[in-house]
Amino acid sequence: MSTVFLETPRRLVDVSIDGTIVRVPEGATLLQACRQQGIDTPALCYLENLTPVNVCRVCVVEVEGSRTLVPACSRKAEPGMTVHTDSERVRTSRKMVLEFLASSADMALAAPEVRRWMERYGTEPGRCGPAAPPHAAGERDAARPGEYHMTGGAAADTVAQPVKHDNDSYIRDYSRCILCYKCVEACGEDAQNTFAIAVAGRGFDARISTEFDVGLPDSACVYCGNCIGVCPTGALMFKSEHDMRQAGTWDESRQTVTTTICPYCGVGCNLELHVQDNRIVKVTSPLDHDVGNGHLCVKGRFGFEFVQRRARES
Amino acid sequence: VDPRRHVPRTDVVLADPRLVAAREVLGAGLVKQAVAHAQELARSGMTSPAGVADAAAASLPPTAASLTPVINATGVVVHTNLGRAPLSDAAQAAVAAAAGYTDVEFDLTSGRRARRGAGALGALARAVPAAGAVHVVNSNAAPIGSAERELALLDDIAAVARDASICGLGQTAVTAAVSAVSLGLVSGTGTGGHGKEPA
Repeated sequence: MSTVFLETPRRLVDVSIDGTIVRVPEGATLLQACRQQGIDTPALCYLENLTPVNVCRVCVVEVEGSRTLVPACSRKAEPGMTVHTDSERVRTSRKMVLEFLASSADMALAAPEVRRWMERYGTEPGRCGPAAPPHAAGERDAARPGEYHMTGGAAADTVAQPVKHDNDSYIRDYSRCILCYKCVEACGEDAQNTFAIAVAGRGFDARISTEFDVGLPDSACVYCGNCIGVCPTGALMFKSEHDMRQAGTWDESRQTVTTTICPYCGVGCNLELHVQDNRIVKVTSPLDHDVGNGHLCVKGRFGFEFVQRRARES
Repeated sequence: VDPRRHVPRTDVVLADPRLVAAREVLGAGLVKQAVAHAQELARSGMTSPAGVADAAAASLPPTAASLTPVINATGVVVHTNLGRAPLSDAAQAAVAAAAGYTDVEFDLTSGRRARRGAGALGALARAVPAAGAVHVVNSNAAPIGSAERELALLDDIAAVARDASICGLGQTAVTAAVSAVSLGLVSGTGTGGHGKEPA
């Protein structure tokens, strides 16, 4: 006789969100409750396949009786909670979070919904003053904790710096990095368990770094590209996409996406092949697929080059 | 004996009366730097070890300012590169008077703390007698526009830090700045009426 394991039935919890009673399973977060209600809730550091790290603070909501706003992505729904998602406090905090991020990092390649949120909350990134000149290559990486140098108040400091090219698979453009930690999570215990990158430095000098700031080929990186898959702002990008953007040939309207199964091993990860002009230009994986939960390995992520390269790899 | 053995010790050179006097005016850091440089020259054989104190004293600037007085022989009277026009005697006297303790934020009539800029407001009111009220805004902060815009930004930063920071350190980090602004301790920003005035 075969045994079928069923999950223990979960209790349902009633919470009030913007005046409506919402019923969610016990253990669900306020973000899940909001999304179940169709309330468009911004989130930058949250992704379904990662553990919430609560760093971006853009999903904050007001819970009656709570001294401060709470991050919806990790706060569990509790019976009797009264939640406001569009109060003055919530709107101010979301506006400021987006404003700070957009004034210090280049959000031009962020997902369209990020621009929609910025518009909705009336973000004015220029309000902090004109941007200071970009940092030289390696300047931010050399910063030591506690040695932040102010720009003097006449200009707003930014994370602008040259793009890091040190391998054939992907580039790192930390001018676009908003320190959401997603790449660190994906590289670490949420997916790859490689731990090639971490957050280095403190305060405004904080940045994503390999150990001792070595180049990727000298680091623990295994080129799974799961960090690219989770990056919300285009700071981590396929080299193929970066090169095409530089050449002005990247055109998403001319791309098709074909879902297939990775041919390399028996695990059966889903691949989404992004094809432009009959060439595969990048590979993603659906977050809601049970096998890989959006994560891939180097073969699935970058093996597409073998399909279309004329010269035989030796 | 290696002549470098004769280079005098730093504390011996610093005890030279000229350098002791210079330290009063220029500060210890600058004088010590000059001494170290003179010692270095002597060690490398460019000067004699006996002349270290003389060399250090000679290399010191006459005043603490980084500006060197020059003679304007360019034929251009108001020369931007030379500091434009010299201050008039009256202006120099005014600067000298303002160099000591003044009532910059104090009302001598009431004997209480007052807003900065009363003189500018008075002069403005006298210049435009028809105006109902006058207001002076510190717009040195041109990058952001005006003090009003800066204060609005500061208010928003305070709100988001208080409401959305992860821990109590972030939530209270702006409290000191907000208190300083609401008590009017930051120049030209006093809103009055909040909290108690410093005695």
